Amino acid sequence: MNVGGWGSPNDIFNFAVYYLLVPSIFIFSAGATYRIVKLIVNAKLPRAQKGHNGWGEMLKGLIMTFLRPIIFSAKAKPDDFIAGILLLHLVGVIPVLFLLGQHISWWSYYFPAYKALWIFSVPESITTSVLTVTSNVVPTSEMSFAFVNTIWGPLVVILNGDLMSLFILIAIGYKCAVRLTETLMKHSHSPARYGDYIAYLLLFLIVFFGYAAARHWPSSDVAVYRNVLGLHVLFAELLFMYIPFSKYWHFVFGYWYGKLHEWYDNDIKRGEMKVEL
Amino acid sequence: MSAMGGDMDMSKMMEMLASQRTDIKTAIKKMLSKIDAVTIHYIEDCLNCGICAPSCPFYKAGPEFSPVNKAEQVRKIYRKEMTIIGKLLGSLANAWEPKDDADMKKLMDLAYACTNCGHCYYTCTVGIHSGTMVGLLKTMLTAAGYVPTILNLFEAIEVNNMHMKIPGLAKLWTDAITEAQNKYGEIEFEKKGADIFFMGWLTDAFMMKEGFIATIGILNKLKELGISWTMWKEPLAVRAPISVVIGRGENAAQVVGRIAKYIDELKPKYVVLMDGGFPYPTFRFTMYGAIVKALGKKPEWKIIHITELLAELLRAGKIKFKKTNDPITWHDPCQMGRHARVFEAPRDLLKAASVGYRDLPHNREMNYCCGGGGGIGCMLKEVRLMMGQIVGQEIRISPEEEEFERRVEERHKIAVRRKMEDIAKVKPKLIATACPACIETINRGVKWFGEELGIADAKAIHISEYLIDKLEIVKH
Repeated sequence: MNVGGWGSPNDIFNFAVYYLLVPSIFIFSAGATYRIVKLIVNAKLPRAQKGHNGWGEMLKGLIMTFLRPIIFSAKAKPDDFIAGILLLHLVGVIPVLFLLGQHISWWSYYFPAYKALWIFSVPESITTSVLTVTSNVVPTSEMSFAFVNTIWGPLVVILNGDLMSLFILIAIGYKCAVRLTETLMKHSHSPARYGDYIAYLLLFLIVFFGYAAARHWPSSDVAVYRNVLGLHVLFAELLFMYIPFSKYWHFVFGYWYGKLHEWYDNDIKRGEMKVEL
Repeated sequence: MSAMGGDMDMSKMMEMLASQRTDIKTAIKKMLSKIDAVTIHYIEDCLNCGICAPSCPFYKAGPEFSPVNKAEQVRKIYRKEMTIIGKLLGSLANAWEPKDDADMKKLMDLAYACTNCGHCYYTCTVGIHSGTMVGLLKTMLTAAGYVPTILNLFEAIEVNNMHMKIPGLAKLWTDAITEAQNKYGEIEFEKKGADIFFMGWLTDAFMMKEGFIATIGILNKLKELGISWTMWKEPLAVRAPISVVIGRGENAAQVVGRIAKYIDELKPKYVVLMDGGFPYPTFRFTMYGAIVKALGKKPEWKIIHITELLAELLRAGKIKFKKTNDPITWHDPCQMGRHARVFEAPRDLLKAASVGYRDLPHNREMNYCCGGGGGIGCMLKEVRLMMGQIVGQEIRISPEEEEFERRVEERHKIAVRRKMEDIAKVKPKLIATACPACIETINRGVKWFGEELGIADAKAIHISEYLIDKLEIVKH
């Protein structure tokens, strides 16, 4: 399928951007619809003698529903907290996907209102927001160590595409290594699911090729660049199609439904009764 | 085999239990028929992050006992039976189902290493209740006849309303009632239109006897406030509904429906429990639909715990407590705490009664489970032997089940130790709580680890037992 009517799949970039985009949206939509319809069809609203909870308690409950697992993992499983929650999510995939400068322009192309987030744009590196630090591009500041002038100020030391991509790659590597070791030693606290490795591999490839493309690696030749960037987009589309059939579903639906259900179940439905005698 | 009493015969009972078995395939289908939207979320949305693991009291017994690993057994079966990829790829898609006796016995070890304490629900990153998943697993196991004998037996006794026909059990009830009346005055049984119906179980009368008597004493004292109360002359259940502990929902609905109809005839305003274990959230939440179905309408009475009643009266200034300096703490029973979120009422009462009150390091949502719920505390050899003495007949199990019982006890000890270490950090003399399994388990833990942890003189009691002597009615 050729979207836009120009270009041919003569390189990976063209194939990914102009041929695979619509099929990937279609497969994602079909899968997502299937999963949501399945929930609706099987929905029941069990009856209960509800508790008497105030608005303040319910609001506190909502916040704690989201925070509690994070706090718990920081205390009980610090390595998992650092790799899984901090590096992979909080200073990894979430800011890279939604706030990295290049990604904000991509999002804005499809959803113009997204431009409003430019103010929170995360630069590619500490010293420059142009596409590379390894090519012969002079940093925007004369001081090579100066921070890029963004709303994030000195936080750019961490909030930059270079470092956050590395965080993601390190986190994936760590999680896979731990899981493999535990599985091989038959001492795993979580089940060995092959799908997890597919999910990690896809994410690894997306970030790796995104990182490489940003540096025009392995060469600054345009054809090579288009293929490397094309691989970044291609793997992103594969992951997009994989979302409804994998653990990545948590990102668009599972996490939000699960937490909101938990909140309803614990902080709205349950609770002490009001006794009037 | 001798008779247990009256027309009860153990061999007939066991035959009846055996006749309820189905084949494994049918049992799997039964389990899968219970799946709804919420359980689909529990099954399909697990991230496999394993953050739930340290919250489980049995995790220290081995990583295979982490909540995610236990719940994964249901996921594997679901993939095998309900997904195309699972049917096509089998184990490559992590799909599997039990085929034989050996598979089912392995699952028994996992299913009975869960107290359904709900701690993993609160720590799960995506809000998955693994205890519910283990409950599904028990549904399948029980349907196929894989159920601990003692739980199976007492479930059958309760479902068939036979408990008061067993002289040993009946005596425990009548002794406790007589003692309560001698100590705190007459009880008006089965009085219609009373403000309160006290739903005291048979287990309350013998596992928390002092607390049971004290609760009756408290209710009699509240008459001074013009609050009338009543209770059943004979309990309609051992501890209803035991069936939920082994995953037999249809029997649970039957027992709950029977009790609801009885209560509805008496038309009380409130149904008060002293048991803060599984019956409390079961009646308020899990089986509330069964109550509505049995009555054909929403009941006009509300289900509350004795601590909710007293806390409300305390806040309204109708009662007060003589203040002491007892070093006391509150252990949140998982069912009344995490599963019903009654956290503050018992604390308000204990703080009003003692300036020496202190919280445990892990409390409220993050409370450490004692390790004795989910029927596990009843599956120990000493309990089986004791129950055999009470019912007047040895409860025999196969050598293989004895070995299972030994493994359960081994893991139980590990789980109990975690709780005892938490208690030892605040060194209370009294651990007030409201669940018979918690009281038994914590006192057992003191016996096992008390010396070593410096809490040999600590004792778990029911909160009513602590409050009764300090309770004062405020007369306006």
